[in-house]
Amino acid sequence: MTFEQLLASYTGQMIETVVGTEFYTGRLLSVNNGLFTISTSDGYSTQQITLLVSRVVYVRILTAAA
Amino acid sequence: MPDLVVLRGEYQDDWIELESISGTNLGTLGAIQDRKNMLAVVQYLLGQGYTLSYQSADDDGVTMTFYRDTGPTPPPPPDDSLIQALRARLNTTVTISTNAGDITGVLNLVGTDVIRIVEPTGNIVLIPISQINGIE
Repeated sequence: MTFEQLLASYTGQMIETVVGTEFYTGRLLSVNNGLFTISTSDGYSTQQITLLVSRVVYVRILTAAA
Repeated sequence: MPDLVVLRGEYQDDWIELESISGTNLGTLGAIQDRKNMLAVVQYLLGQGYTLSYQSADDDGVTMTFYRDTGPTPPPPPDDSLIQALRARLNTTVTISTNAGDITGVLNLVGTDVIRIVEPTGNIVLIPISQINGIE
């Protein structure tokens, strides 16, 4: 199983991830063709961020927050 | 990365002679560099999944640029010895060192290019094998 396939199996879950040197947190919306998209919220607005699978250092699936 | 091909053709009486061909990954296009009829080369490129992205014409001839999306470049396969070392630690508690810090938990999956760790909190961490700096 590849990283991308495994990550896709957690679609819909809350995640934390480090991509490059940046930290992101949000709900995993999709995983496709070397990219994944999360929905993040600052309490006032929501935005979608698309990130490169190839630059991921780790992804933490927050099972308690799902 | 997409494959790109640029063709330059010169007008003849009733056909266009291929004057030059350049681009990326030309080795996969086999014998087309030997063809003189530019339209035959265009036909061949379209049949190989290329799309015309730019063209211009002047008094002497035409220039055409084609591209073909080849999808993302797959990551290189992880080092075999690292995978063996990880498999030897399956279902044990490990600390994985990455550029973003250490991650500790039970290693419960070693995939093609990824490992999965279950932390004491119950959270699951996926780490690309290429991002592992060390195992404790």
